[in-house]
Amino acid sequence: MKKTKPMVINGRQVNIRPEKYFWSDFFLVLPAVLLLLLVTYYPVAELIRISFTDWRLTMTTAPEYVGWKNWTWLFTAKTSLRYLTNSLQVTLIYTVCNITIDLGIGLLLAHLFNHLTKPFAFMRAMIFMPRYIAMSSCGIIFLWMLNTDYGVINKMLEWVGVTNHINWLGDDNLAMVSILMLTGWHGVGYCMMIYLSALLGISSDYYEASSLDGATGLQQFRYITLPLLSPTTLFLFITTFISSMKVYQSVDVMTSGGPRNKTAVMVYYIYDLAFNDNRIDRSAVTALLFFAILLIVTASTMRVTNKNVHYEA
Amino acid sequence: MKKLFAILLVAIMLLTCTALAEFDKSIPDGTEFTFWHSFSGVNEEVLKKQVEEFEALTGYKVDLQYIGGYNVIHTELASANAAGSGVPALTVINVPRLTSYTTDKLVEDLNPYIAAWPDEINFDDFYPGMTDMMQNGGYQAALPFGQSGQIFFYNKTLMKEMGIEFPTKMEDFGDWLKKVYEYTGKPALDVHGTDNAYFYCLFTNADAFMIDVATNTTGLASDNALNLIKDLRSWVDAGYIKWVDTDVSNTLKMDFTSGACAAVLFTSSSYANYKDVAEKGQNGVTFEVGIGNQPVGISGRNEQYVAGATLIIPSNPCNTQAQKNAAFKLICYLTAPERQLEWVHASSYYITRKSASTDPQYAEAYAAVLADLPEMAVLDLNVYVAKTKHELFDKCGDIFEQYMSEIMNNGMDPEEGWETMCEEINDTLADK
Repeated sequence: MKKTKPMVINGRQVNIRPEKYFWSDFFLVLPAVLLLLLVTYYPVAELIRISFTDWRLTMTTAPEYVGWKNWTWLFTAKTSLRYLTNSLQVTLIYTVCNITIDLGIGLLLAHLFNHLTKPFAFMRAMIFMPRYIAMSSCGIIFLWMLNTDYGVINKMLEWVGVTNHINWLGDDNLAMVSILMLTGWHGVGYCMMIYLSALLGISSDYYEASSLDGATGLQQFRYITLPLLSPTTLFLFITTFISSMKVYQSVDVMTSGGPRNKTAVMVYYIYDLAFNDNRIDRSAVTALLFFAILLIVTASTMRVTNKNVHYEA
Repeated sequence: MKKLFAILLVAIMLLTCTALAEFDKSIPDGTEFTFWHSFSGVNEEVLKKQVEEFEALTGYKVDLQYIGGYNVIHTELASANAAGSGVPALTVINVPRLTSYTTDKLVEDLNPYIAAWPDEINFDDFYPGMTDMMQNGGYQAALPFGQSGQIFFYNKTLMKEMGIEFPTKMEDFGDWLKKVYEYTGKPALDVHGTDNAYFYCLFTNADAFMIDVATNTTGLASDNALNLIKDLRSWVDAGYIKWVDTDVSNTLKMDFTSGACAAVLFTSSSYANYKDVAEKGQNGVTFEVGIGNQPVGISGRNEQYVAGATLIIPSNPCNTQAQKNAAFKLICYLTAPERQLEWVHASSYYITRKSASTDPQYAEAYAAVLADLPEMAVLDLNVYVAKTKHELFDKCGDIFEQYMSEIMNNGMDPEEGWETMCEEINDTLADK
């Protein structure tokens, strides 16, 4: 039995395994590291390389090095600036709304189910169920439901007196709402479940003690539940933020970026450049820019919000 | 003189032999190759049957694979090409992709193949508008197979009841729309609003073209185009036309076959399906389906552009010349008039061979097609011409259809929308 070496890290004493084990540990993690390098970092490096070439998807000759040409195009060409600004704006609007819907409604539902008795568990399952269905299938179902003339939504609105059929997917303002309806329906159950499990982890002692001190339900929610849910909120915020920024399938199935690019999110624009315009080179620079934006925003969010997260009750 | 003639003859023969020798026509027995397609349902069944017949006849083995729609095939093909493996020897692709495929030489030039097997392909028998659309600067990128066009389906029973005919001239179109609307109280026409291919003919027949190649600007920046946009908008506002821009395929079919509109501007390949549903009264109304060609515009023309599935041989070297040759043999087989008639009968795609409707040897098969699909006789396949071949045509087309939707359905001012649209198309063209 080898002795461990005591060491002080962040004021705590921890036992470090002897140096002898360093190489065996290294070789144990090596396959995973290699796999990560191959499937994650190599494609990123390749993307950077492609961004300096003139690679069109359909070309049969080898792409040539073109220097900063694609980067110059990205920041100076009229068309690029027009579509890039629009896509960033659309993506941001979608992200803010989707986070609000998923986290907001998810939290409310979790709070509700936390107080409901066991027989209501099936409702919880019903709300979580859409998560199991592929987004493309959900998109097709919503496409039918939202059909202007034959969709069930407009038929239901007819029953309550809205006889003027709403063009859900063709209207400039409603197309994004329609997509949010779909992704919200699809994602809210997941947030609800995560919040619910976090709520179950909060000791009832806090609520009992605060009740004795005369705290109202709203005050308990504001001063006990919300702070103790902050690590969960941060986790859900970051994951929902990243998945919202990368939204694609729902847009592709339901609106194809329309009407007039009003739902053309960043990933859709990147895909469009690569596979409709066949411009892998331009798609690569746009993807890299998007990657940088995502990285900066996520890192800043974590830095800012970490200060308000309470990990220990 | 005789000597000179003999020398000349020998020289010509040698040159011919050298030319032929450049193209290796050999196909070993049992050659195997892959064929990607996009057809489902009845169309796939007919295709499978014809491919099996071909295999039995030639001894070649065809791996027939359904890949998905045209966009999926494009993505798969381009990706396989980039990877340098898994490229099929033969595939179906839609017409608009051909320009970039030709520019990048992603596909074989079929001219040497046509020259090598002239009798089997009988190239001159294709409708010239169709083959012209599939060549670029003499490079024959594809051959016609499942071709379709942008035509009008109308309720023939209603027209008989009203005692009017479907208009053949654009100048009569407004009156026709008004009459039908006043008679039925419903839109006279549903237009496919998310694919410019359907309404673009109305513009080109008014001399307004998407791209003016000489100036590299849009030809839609003309008074004719603006006037047409204003006319269409006024008809939409009056309720004569419904500009469908969401869930288009389902809406057009439901509207037409349920009697919610009297006509639709859509793809000719829907004929068999629409006819079946309408004649059986599956959506509550029973009527006879009529077909109308594009109306003659102010240019005096009623041209159309062929669309749909073409057959291409990818140039990627991962397939051997023998496999490519075998693939061309399959093209010859599938596009032969007798197979085309069988295909047309099942799919209601266009007849691509002139002889199919004129040669007495196909008279019986042609009559059988017309017995089931009588309006096929109305189609004028001689009005098909080649569309402007430009790599950015589709990109500009996207902008065109988006602005048209905004003008027709979202209240955008026609003149303002038209101006901004032209500016955006011009920016796109400048950004090549």
